[in-house]
Amino acid sequence: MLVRLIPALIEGILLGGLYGIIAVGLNLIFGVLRVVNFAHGSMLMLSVFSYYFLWKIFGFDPFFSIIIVAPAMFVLGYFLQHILIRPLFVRERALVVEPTSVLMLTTGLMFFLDNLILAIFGPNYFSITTKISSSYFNLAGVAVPWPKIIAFFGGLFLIFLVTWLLNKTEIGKVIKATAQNRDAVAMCGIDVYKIYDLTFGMGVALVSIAGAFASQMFYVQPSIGTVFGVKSFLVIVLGGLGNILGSLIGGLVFGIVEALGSQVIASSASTMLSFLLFIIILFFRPQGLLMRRAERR
Amino acid sequence: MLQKLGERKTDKNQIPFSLIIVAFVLLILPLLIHNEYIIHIFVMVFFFAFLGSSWNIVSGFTGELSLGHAALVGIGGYVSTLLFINAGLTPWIGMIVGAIVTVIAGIIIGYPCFKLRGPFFTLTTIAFAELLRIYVSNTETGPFGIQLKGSMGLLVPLLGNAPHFFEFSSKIPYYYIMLMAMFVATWITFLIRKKRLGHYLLAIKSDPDAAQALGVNLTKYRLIAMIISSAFASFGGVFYAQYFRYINAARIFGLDLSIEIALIALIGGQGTILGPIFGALLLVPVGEYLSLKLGGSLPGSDLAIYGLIMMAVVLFMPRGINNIVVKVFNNVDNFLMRLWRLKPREILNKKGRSP
Amino acid sequence: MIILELKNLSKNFGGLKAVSNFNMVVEKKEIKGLIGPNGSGKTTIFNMIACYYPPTEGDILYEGKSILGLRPDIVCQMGIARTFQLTRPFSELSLIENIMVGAFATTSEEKEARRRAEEIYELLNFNASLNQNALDITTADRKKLELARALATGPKLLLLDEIMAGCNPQEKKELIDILLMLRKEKDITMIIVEHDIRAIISLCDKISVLDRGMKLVEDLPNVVANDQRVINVYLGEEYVAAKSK
Repeated sequence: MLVRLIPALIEGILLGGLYGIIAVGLNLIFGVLRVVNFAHGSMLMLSVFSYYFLWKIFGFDPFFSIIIVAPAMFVLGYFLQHILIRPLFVRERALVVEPTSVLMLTTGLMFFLDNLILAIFGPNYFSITTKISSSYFNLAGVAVPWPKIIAFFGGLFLIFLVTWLLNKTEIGKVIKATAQNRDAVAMCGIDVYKIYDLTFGMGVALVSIAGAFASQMFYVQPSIGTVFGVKSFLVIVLGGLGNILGSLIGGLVFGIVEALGSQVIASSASTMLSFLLFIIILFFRPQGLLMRRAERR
Repeated sequence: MLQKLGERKTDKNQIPFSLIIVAFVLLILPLLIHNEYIIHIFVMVFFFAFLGSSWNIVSGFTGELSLGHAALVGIGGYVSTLLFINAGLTPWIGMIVGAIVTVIAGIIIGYPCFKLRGPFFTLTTIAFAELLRIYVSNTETGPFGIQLKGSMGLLVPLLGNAPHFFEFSSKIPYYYIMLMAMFVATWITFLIRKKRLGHYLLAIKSDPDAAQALGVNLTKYRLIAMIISSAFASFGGVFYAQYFRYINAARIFGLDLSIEIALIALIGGQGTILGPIFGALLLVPVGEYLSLKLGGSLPGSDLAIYGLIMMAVVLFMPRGINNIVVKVFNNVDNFLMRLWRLKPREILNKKGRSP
Repeated sequence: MIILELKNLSKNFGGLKAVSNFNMVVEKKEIKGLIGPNGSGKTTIFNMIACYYPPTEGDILYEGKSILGLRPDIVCQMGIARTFQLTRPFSELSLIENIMVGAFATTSEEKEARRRAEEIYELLNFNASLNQNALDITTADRKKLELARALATGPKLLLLDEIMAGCNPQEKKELIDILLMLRKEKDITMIIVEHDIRAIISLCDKISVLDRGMKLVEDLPNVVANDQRVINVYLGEEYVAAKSK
C-alpha cells in the first residue's frame, strides 16, 4: 500500500504546484479588485490553445512560447478589465463593485469564450509532443514526465518572483496597498482604476504561463478551463485571499488530497474529496487557512 | 388585489392590468395554438420562471448568490424518481417525500453557507452541488442498495398517459401544471415580500448588523427562506423528471443549470416579484432559438451568443429588465384606459394616496 | 430599581485599551448621559451592552441577570434597543418599512407592524414621506429613522448614539420633548451619548464622563458641566490655564 502512496504523493505535489500557479493569478485579481473572475479558467484555456497552435504551426516549444503568449495575454487581460469590468466600477461610482454584476459578467465571458473555442475547433482533443514532454525523470523509482517537474519548479520560481515583486518593487507595493485599502490609495493620488487594469493583466499573464505547463501535462481541449477554473477558486479560498504563498500551499493541499484520494476511490470522484474538504475547512475557518479573522470594530 | 397593489409605493411591484390580460392569454393559449413545439417552449419558460422564483426567495431576498440551486432541484427529482422506479410510488406522493428530503438537504447546505459572505457563499454552494453531481454520476449502487445508475441516469417508467402517475401523453397537462406552479411561486413571493419574512430578509440583505440590533435572528430567517426555496426547487426536479421521462446527474445537478436559474432571476430583476417570469420569457425562447439555428451546425455557438447576451445585460441593464417591462405595461395600461375613456392610472393613484 | 449594571467593563482591541474598568449603574426610567471626546469609548460601551461584541473583562447585568455571550437579536427581544452613530438605513426598504422591521419585533402581523410604524412616523415628524426609499432622505431624517426603528421594537432600555447630530436647534428641542415624553409615558430608560452639552443637561438625570476608556466622573449635569477635569478633557489643559489667568 505504501509503495503505491509514494508515486501518488509525488503526483499530488507536482499537480498541486500547478494548481498553485493557476491560483496565484486569480488570487492577485481577487485580492486587489475583489472581483470574482469566473472566466479565469477560460484564460487558461485560451493560452493553452495558443501554445498548441504556436507549436503546431511554428514548432515552438511551449516553454519558449511563453515570451510570446504571456505578454499577449497580459494585454488581453488589461483590455478585458479596462473595457468590460471598469464600467461596472464607474457605474457604481465606488471603488468596490456589486458582486452580482461582476459574477454575471465574468460568467457571460466564460460562456462566450469557452463556447466560441468549442464552436471553432470542436470538442476534439489535441496534444503537444515535444522532446521535453516525452522524456522522463527517474525519481525514487517512479518515472515522472519532465514537463511536470519543470512546471513545479518553474511555478515555485514564479510564485516567489511575484511575492518579491509585490514586496520589493514600488508598483508591487502600490498593488498590495490597493488590495488592503483602495480608498487610502486613491487619496494618495493614485489612479486606482489603472492599478486594477494592471493587476488584471498581470493575473491573466500569470495564468497563461501556467498554461504553458498545463498544455504539456493535459489534453488541449475547450473544457480544460472549466475544471481548473473551479478548482483554482477553491485553492485561493483555502489559502486565504490576497495571500500569494497561501495559493501555493492551498494548491499543494488540494493536489495531494486529490492524488491520494484517487488511490482509494476513482480519480474523478477524488475531486469530491476536495470539495468536501473545502466545505469543512470554510465551516470552521470562514476566512481560509492562512488568514487571521478580522475582529469587528 | 389590484386596488391594494395600486397603493404600494414601488411601481416595480405593482401588477399592471395589461399584465393580467397576458396572464389570461397564457391560460387559454393551448386552446389557440396547437403547435407542440411552441407549447414545449412555454412549458420551459414556466419551468425556469418557477425555478427562478424559487431561487429568488433565497438569493434575491438575502443578496447572497447561490450557484448551487441545482443541488436542490436534483435531489427532488432523484428521490421522487427512485421511489417511482423502485417502489412504484406515484410521483404525486413521491414529490412530497422529495420535498422533505430536499428541505433537510437545504438546511444542511444552508447552515454552513450562511456563515459566509459574498464569493465565499457562492463558492460553497457550488461545492455542494458539484459534490452531489460527482457522487451520483460515479455511483452505480448507493447506500441501502439504491440503484443510482451513475452517469447513465434514471429512466422514468413509460406508462403512456397515466395521470395518477404524473405522466401525460400530451404536453398540455404539463403546460397547465407548470403555469399554475409558476403562479403559485409568484404569489408566494409576493406574500413573503408583504409579510414579516420579506421585510426581515431585505433588512438582512441591506445590513445584517443593524437587522440583528432590531431583533432579527439572522440564521433563523435565512433558513426559513431556504426551506421554502428548497421545497419549490424539489418540485421543479420532479416535474423535469416526469416531463422528459429521464433524469441524469450531469444535467440536473449541473453548474450549467444553477447558472441558468440564477441568470433568469438576475436578468429579470433580482429580488423582484415578477422578475423571474420576465427573465424566463426573454432567455428561454432566445436560448431555444439559438440552439435550434446554430446548435446543430456549430455546436457551442448558441451558448457563445448566450454569453454575449449575458454580458450585454450586465453592462447595459444591470437592475434587470423588471422595471423597464413593468413601465411598458403601465404605459399600455394608461393607453388602454384612455382608449376606454377611463382615468389614467396616475390620477387614480394620487386620489388613492391622499391622507 | 436597577435596570442595567456595568461591572468593571473592559474592552481591548489587540493592544488598544478602548474601555478600562468602567462601572455604571442605571436606574429604571432614568435618563443617563454618556459624554466624552471622540474615541473615548462611548460607542464601544454601547456595542458591548447590545452584545455586538463581548467585553474583554467585566460583566453586564440587565434586570439583574448577566447578558454576556447573548446574541444581539436576543438582547433586543429582551428589551434593549440601540441606534447607530453612523446611520444604517435598510437600503432595500422604504422609510416606513424600515420602521416596520423594528415593529416586527413585537408582532408578526404586518398590519399591526404597519400601524405601529405609522404611529411612530407621525410622532417623530419626519420630513420625508412614508414611502420614500430610505437612502434618499436627509441626515436629520436618518437620525430620526434610527430612533424610530429602535423605538418600534418596544424597548425598556434605549441606547441613543448621537441622534441629535446634524439637527438644527428646533429639531433638537423636538427630540428632547419626545424623549422626555417617552420616559414619562412609556417608562423607557435611556442612555444617551451626545456632544451638545445643553441638550444633555436638559435631558439627563446624571452624566458619566469618559476619557480614553475610563470613567472620569459621574454626577448631576450641572456639577459635571462645571467640573474642571471635564473641561480639561474637552478643551485641553492650556485653555483651562489660559482662562483661569
